[in-house]
Amino acid sequence: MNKIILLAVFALFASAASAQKYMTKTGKISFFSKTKIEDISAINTSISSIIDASTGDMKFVGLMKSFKFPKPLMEEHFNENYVESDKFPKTTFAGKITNVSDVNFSKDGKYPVQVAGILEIHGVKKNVESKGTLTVKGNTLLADTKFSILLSDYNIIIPTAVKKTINNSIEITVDVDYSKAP
Amino acid sequence: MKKIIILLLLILIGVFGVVYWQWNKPRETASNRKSEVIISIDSLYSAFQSNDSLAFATYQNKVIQISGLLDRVERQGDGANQSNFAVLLSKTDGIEAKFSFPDTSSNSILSNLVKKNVVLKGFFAGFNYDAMMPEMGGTFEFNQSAIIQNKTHE
Repeated sequence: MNKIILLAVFALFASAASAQKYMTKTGKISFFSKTKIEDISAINTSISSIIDASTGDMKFVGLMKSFKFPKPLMEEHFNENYVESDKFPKTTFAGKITNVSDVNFSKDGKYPVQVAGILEIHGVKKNVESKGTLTVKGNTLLADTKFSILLSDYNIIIPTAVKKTINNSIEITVDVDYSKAP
Repeated sequence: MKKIIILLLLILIGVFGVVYWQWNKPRETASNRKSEVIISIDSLYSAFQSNDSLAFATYQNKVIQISGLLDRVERQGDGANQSNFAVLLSKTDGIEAKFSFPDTSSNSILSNLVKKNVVLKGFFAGFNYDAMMPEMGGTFEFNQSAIIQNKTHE
């Protein structure tokens, strides 16, 4: 009988813990870079992500080949010459909302958050920090932030011929709608 | 001298034409390509479970054909950035195959096929899965996909 009670208590805690998680498989990450020839932009709308509201843990994973560019040639160059998607097919982020205690997940509202963690692109892991907003609306969350990275930090080499026209800094926009995990 | 100038002009026009065509060339779609691999989502998942880097090396960029139950059609983004996806579910919980389509022309056909068995093909982009978040399951992603109405056409 004791075992049954213990199991029931454990199941209750396990379900409460899972209720603290928010997930999506359709997160949006885009990037933009202004160049002298033509602006470079791309969007990936198939980002998987999870936020644990109790700890502030935040994770993202997406495929490099799912970034869509306006021009097919840009997409080809991005995958083959810059990020080498065949060798490094994924980008990941694992970090934390450092001020998660400031967010009331049971009260609708817009909460400024700070996120810090490790971003992996092109097989290189780097610490990144960013300020963003977490919008709580019922059982959903909207996370958005903008930050810049340097391509050289991730060993992404710009060919000499276009070095003067392509910016080493790119702006990344994160815009992710989460639903509470069932 | 006149001939040289005309020749140079012709070369210049030719080079400009090639560059312009390269810059604006349309994306290659799976509809013009024969399926290189015909496999189920579960078999693909088994291959990634046993050795993910070997499986990725085997299937990357190949036109893969998969049949299964069309669970849902997703539309994301808007305007020029709109993407259309068809999602097939595997027998394994949380594992799915997501096909992105080159334009919106397939929307109405796909919408009529929801909850029916379909055969789709697309360029394999990879397995979107992270061991750090197993509760998310995993998604096999395919680009520039096409609907195969009838298996015997392949």
